[in-house]
Amino acid sequence: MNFQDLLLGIQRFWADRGCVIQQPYDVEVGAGTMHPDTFLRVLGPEPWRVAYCQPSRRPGDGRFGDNPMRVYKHFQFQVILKPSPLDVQQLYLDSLTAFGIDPLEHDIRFEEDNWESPTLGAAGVGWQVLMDGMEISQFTYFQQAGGRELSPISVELTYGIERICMFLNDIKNIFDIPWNAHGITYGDVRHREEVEHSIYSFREADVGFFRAQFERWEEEAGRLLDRVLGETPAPLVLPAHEGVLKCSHLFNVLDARGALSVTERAAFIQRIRRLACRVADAYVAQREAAGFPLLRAAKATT
Amino acid sequence: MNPPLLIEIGCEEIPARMIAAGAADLEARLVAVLDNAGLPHGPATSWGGTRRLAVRVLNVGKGVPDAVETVLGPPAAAAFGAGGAPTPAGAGFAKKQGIDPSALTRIETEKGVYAGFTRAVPGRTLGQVLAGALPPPVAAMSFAKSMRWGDGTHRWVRPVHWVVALHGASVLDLEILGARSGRASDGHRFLAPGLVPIENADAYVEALRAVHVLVDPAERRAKLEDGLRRAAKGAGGAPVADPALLDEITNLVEWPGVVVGRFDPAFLDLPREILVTTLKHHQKSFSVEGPEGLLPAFLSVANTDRDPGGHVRRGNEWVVIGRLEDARFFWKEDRKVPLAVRVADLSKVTYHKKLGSYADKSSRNETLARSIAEHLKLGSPESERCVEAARLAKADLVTGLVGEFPELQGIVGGLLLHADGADPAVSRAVYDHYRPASAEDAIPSTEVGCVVAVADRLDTIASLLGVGEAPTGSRDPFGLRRAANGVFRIVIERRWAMAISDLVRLTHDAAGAFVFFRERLDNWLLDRGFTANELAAVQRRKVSDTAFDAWALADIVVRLEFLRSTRALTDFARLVDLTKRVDNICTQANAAILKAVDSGFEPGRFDEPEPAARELEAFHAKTAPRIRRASDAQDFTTVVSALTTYVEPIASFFEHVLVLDPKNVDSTVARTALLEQVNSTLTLDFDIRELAGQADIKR
Repeated sequence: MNFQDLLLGIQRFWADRGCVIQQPYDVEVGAGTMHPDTFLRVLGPEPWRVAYCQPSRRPGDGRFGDNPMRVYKHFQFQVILKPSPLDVQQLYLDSLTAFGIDPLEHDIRFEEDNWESPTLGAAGVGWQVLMDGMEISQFTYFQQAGGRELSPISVELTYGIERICMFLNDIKNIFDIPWNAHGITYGDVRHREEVEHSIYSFREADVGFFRAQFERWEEEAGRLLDRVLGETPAPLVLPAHEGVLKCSHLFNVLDARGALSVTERAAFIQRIRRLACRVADAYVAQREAAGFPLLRAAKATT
Repeated sequence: MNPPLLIEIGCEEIPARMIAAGAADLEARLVAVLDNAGLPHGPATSWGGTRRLAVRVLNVGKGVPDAVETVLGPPAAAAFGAGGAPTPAGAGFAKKQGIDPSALTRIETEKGVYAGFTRAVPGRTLGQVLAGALPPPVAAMSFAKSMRWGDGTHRWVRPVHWVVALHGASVLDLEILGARSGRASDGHRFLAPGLVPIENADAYVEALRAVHVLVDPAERRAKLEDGLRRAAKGAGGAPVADPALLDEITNLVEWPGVVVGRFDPAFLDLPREILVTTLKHHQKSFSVEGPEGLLPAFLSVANTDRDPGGHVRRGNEWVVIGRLEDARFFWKEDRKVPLAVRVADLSKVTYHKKLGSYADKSSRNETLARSIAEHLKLGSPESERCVEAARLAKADLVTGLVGEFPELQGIVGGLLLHADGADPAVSRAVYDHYRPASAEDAIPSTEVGCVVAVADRLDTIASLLGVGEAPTGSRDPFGLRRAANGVFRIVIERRWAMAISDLVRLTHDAAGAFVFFRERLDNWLLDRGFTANELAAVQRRKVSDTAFDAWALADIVVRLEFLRSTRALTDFARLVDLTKRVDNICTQANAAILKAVDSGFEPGRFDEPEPAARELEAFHAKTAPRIRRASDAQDFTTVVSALTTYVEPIASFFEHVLVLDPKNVDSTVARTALLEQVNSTLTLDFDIRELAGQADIKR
């Protein structure tokens, strides 16, 4: 199964199970969790089901396109089910079967792996899913986000789709993954991007410029959150959230450049976290003022 | 014989590290529920697998019979007025109990007459008891980490899916964490999916075995060990033993199978420790030992015993080869610069925000290593090696390999120094200096290694206590208690002449160090199975509050072991009795003498006329030096047998001699002086009074 067929298949699978099929967020993120359709939607009481593929940038993981496994950017396929249904493990396993994985021919295990994002004030409990000793997915019951205890609980499934595709095709090098059925490979589509972004992030990114950008985005997001709900101008939650994402990415590049000392690093994480928690609070207040529309919609349909 | 009771709680995959504790906790809670309800029962057994915790209790009663309960209120005198009508106090009690005041009667008890009443308590079946009393304690079970799910109402280790509750063959109806009980369990997630009816509680283990679940951890472990042995044999070797890894894997699978993977023999050029750790750390896999060293093969464990397409083997090989390539990359990179050169980089690694970098810690370790070497009177080349090893010991913290495998710290440093051609005594000491890593691990194999290991730990303890990071309750984030245990083991096993007071001095009297070491040593000795009484007898705090702290730790252990072995053989009862009497008389006599001095007593000459007193004096003069010599030689057998010979002369003394003679204070002074000398000999090594009478307090 080629890369794009896998992607299309997994979208179809979750569309059939009531998920909104979203598109990737158009701001640089380190993980699909940062997409507002996850980070914000898991807050508050409203039900939600969404699935999307999110290109995720991790400047520190860049290997100049030389490493068969590690890359600056990879694709996460992300599913959020809120509240978590009791049969979510079976749903997940059904999705593997849908790609042609026969559980009787493999060793599939759920091993403890708890997740924590200090920058998002978020934490969850769950597993890494191992197939034949290889991690192919992360499975997380969110317990906290934006510093808030969650209820209901959302479950997040994150598929490493390159991994799964390499496995399905018995390929040892990520760049050899067939992207489509017409001879185009993952390397044809993405290799140059890996080379250039690795060079940029590790060697060339202008530290002064990135630091200044960080300050500016932090200020800008803060300005949008300093407002009071119900007054004019109103708080702008989604643009402020983008400020958090910008800060997070700028921090990742500064970190990859080796520009941050240990204490400075901790201080940057703290600053992003503070902002993320403020966004979370503002989002819940805004939804509450609107009467939690999706809660009403869910009651209307049942 | 009543039928057995079975409770199984089925859930999503439980973290391996929580299964054994979870099963034991469930067992304790179920047994407590039965006991509290007064339900008779036999012994209990618990089991656990990745998707279930289960308990079976044998011979459980069918219920509790009807009973009559007496409820007592205020004393009758207060509850009933003249003519027998209830007073406001009596009426208030009745109201609180929800009965009519006229129902109160006078009830006679051993303590007097009270107002009260009786009521019938209807009997309850086992099912009724459990339905009410079992769900709350199960929901309140404590796990290292628990979670909420769905609508967020329940909190447990993982979402609960089913509950089996059987008394013999009958289903008991109850609801735990949102799951209704029945007889349906669940088999292996893939090999036998779907519901499995458990016919009766006796058949539980067998019923699950039929659906590819070995619920008994001991059975899983045995099957796993056997599988590993066979697989390794097939590959031409034997598995490299690793009990901790085996324990972990036992709880990662319900139906263990072993696959043999292979890798390029060129990887065998890596140091053995790195190869074995890479396989263990990243893939929970075992290395295979051949006749001439490791084989280019590994053993991975799967939750299935079949691999029809070879996918399981290939997948594991793929991951392992990637990891070995990483390890080889780091080893090559780390070899590029001699380890000694990396010491400079330690100034960039923070040890603790108030204690500076690892460069600072290394220099403190060096100083301490020098002091310890001096204390042990090590000669010139040896003590320099200690200081050099302490200087280099932390340098591997800035290597790529330790970044990747923190558990190889020390070992990597030793390997790199060896490859750099360093003094073998130094590289060995660096290699070993984190040992003992656990209670089961051995101490460093050389004197230099032990000096560095103790220096490192003493600095950790002293510096962290100094900045207020003492452990509290169950929190010990910097492992100070473990560090102290390591120090004790090394000092004792090497028989170093080192006492608590020496440890305190070496840590420059850090704040709280004295109390810390004292408490840790007590705890450590109790953990080794000595009782609180034995410890008190050796500490002799009533005799001297400081002497014990100046005894070499190894000598303390010798005394404790002697005491433990001799207690069973020697009847101390009379000796204990007499020692107590000697002590009591001395206390009273001293008080009397002080009083006499206050009233103007002038000491005069006193010649002992009593033969029994003169005999004791002569006996003591002859025996005490012998005891002291034996004590110095740590010949405690001689000490104790000589002490028991005091029994007769002391008994005869008390029979014939009056110590507290108000008419002759001079005699009191002389006889008290004699008794005090005797007393100090009796308690020279042990204060056996601490062993008297009471049952031993075991931990």
